[in-house]
Amino acid sequence: MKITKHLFPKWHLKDKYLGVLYVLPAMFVLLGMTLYPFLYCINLSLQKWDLFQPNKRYYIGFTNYISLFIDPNFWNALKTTIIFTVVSVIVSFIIGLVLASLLAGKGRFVGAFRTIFVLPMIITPIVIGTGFKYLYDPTSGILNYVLSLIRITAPAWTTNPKTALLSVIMVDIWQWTPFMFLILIAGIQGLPKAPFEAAACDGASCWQILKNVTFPLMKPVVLIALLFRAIDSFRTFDTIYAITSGGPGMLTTTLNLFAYIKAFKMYRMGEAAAVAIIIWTIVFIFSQLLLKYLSTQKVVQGK
Amino acid sequence: MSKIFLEHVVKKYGYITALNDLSLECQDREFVVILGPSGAGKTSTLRMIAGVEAITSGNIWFDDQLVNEMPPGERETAMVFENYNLYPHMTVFDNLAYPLRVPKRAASYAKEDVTEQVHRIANMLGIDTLLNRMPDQLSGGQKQRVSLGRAMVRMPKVFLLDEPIAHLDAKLRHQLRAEFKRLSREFNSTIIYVTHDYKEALSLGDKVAIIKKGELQQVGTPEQIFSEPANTFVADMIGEPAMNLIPAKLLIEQERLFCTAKGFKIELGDYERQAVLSCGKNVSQVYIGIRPMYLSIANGSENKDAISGEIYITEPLGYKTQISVQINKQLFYVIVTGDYSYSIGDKIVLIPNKQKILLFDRENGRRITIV
Amino acid sequence: MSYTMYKRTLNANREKVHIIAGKRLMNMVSMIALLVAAIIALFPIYWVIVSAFKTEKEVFIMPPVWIFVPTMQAFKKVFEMSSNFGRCMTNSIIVTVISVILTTIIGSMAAYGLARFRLKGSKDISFYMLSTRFAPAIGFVIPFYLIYMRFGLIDTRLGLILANITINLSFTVWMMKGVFEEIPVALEEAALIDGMPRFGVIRTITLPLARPGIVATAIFSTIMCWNEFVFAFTLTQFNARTLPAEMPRFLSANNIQWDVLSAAGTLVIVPMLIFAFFVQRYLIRGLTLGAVKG
Repeated sequence: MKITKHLFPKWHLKDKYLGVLYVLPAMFVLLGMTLYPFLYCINLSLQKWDLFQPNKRYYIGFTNYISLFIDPNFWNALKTTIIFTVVSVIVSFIIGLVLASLLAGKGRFVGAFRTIFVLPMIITPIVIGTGFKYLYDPTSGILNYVLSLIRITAPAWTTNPKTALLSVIMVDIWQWTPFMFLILIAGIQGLPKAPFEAAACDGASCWQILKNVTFPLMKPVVLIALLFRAIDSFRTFDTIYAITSGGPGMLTTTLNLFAYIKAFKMYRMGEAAAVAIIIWTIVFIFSQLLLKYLSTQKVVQGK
Repeated sequence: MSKIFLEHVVKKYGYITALNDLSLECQDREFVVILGPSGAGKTSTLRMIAGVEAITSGNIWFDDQLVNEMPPGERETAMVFENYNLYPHMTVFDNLAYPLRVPKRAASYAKEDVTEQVHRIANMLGIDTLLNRMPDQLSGGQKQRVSLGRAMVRMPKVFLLDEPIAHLDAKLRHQLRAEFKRLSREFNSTIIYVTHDYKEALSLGDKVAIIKKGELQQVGTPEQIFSEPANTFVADMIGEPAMNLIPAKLLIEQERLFCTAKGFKIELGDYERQAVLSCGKNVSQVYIGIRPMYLSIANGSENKDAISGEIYITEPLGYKTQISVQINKQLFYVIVTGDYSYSIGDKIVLIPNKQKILLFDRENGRRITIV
Repeated sequence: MSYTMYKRTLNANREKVHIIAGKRLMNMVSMIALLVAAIIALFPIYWVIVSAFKTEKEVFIMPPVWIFVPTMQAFKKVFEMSSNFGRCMTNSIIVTVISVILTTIIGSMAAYGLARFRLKGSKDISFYMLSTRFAPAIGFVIPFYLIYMRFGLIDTRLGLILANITINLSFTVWMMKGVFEEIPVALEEAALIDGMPRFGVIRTITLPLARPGIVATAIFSTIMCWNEFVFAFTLTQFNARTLPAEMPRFLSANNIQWDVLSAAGTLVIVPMLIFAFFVQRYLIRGLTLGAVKG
């Protein structure tokens, strides 16, 4: 039997190389535009470089970090950021949950409300900021007017030290409660009916159902929503910049703004880079937690 | 010429061996059925022949050509999938026409040729009225025909069918089985058909290969598989109700071979005696294999070489009745056609057809034959 | 009917009425709460747009003016206060369109590669890509600013496009990976067996089936690019300035002219509102980040 061996190029291997080729441009971009700047930033954080004196640039090791750790403004910014994140996430979660549970099951209206609630998320944040700045204005803003109608003398929201942070948090809540609402209502609507029917058959009371069926089933959705929002809330910049620019004083200066001011108002690049690295570290820890949790969820769902 | 030769093919997924040293030859225009339970490795085999699965080791030859690394598009094979795999975003017509519109064939098929061929195949399969429908508007049987049509439309040298009628109801399965047989006569192609249903294997195949957990158990004609199973696995797989496999002991008394268990003692014939002797080793623990249809009921009087027991249940199935007889805590299955008047608890005597008794070595399950 | 039975039915009916009335009350309370929420959600947007058509005096005085004659004064003043505004509009459009196109192409390719080919380390790559989504903008802006200065990318549209791609790539890859994973591999295998080369398979089978996912992802990227502020504000000054980045200019005066501010804001958000109106269907999927299936 004459055997002719046709040596085709190894097709399956070639196919695999093709896959690498597809991923390459994206990896190129990401590595070039994220890894490189990140390393640059680390490097920068170990230097002293004020753009006012661009030629005086030299390494100072961890001095930037040390000066940050003894800087009360830094700790203030950290405290402000934490308060901002915690309050915004929890309040928007509660409101979102209430709204979602109210709307669940009312099929007709869910669609309409979804569309309405989507709007705060697509409006340009900087415009949200300027819009609320107007609303908050003590002289011309409508908020204080409405409050005066019900006999409340309202403060100058954005300039009063007692209310400045609150005013900014309220805007964040306004902007992102819809996000919570959307995720939660999708979660509620996605709940399987079977456990509830079984519980009803077993004669469970309302509270028992809530505790033993609803909460455990909702847990993954809730956790994802909370973690996502918490990490995102760290990135808030536009609205705060527009409404208070970090003021009065430094009362609404979150870490983000703190870094920005150091870099673009004081031009102290090295210190700014150090702040950025710290922010990155905090966010990294939380996002890794979220990603780990997400991947276990995917396994559970059999994806 | 479309001969397929699998030479010591091994398929591993990581540490799991799906297929272990499979060697199989499919002659030109042969209808080969690969039979086995789920997870046996049948689909892997088919996918390797088609080219969408890489071979861990071994060779696959199409005629005299080594095709291990040939892209699936270059092989002249067409595949009909278990889940039909129709392109959901195209009409039935476009699904059928797709293979003719691919770059390497588009040159030889002008638009009119495509239409003509599609209509021809659609007529053959009885789906010509469905050409404008979308796949999600079709029933299971219709989808199957479209899937088959898509394979047929380019007159491939080799048809690969992966449990094509597994998801259809029994009646439809029966219908399509008959159609497959008819179609296979019309197409001059080699057909490799994978299934877990032995009925399809027996009725369709020229040659049947039985695989269990990646190991080839037996290759033979349907007749051979049925009457000369190579081991207990094959014997048990073919036939319903399954072959009775009873543990027994072999005894040689005065140069006569007997098999005994509690409840019976049967003398075995020449062939079995020679087979046991030629076996080489001392076999005493065996399985007796006898199909339910080869057991008859004695009419009253005691017979030599008979098995007596008590009726456990009777299952009337229309034209036949299946009786389970309990003999010494073991259940024998017997089939009775025609009228019967037995009820649970009756004493009954069974007479095996000695020509049809098979012996299996209890140690390794292999049938004892003359070596 | 005996007396006890009569009593029982009466009580049963009373209970039923209580339950129904209770339910109706709950429904009413729910609807009111939801309506209040809707008003809260919509009002600031409404107020901004409405204020854009008022006169300087009308936006300044209290109590607020509900009924008025709309005028385009404020819009004229926008272009007076910011000579660059027109250019910002074109920049926003160009940067957004190009960024979205490039991000979608590069991202979809990568997603396909990750979804289909069992590459070593694909899990790590996905992980890394996803991590970049959470990175705070300020962390990138600082090195970007300095790097861009060195390479002369400050105040260029190219620089901004690169930045936008960086921001949106991870999300695009993540979403598209899910989309591609939902398309059964067996379909592509069937097409391969039918004789189609791999590129043809992608063109005729994969992409048509992936289209809704691609559209949803592209829509989300569009919104993110248009609204992007931090990078645009720090990395551009004049030539490549986009609309959101120009907004702070209207805040710099001591006495802010609310009508002008609102007009500028309106010009920034109206394109997105119109866009969102047309693509409503796809929005939910993108905005919940694919975390739940819309």
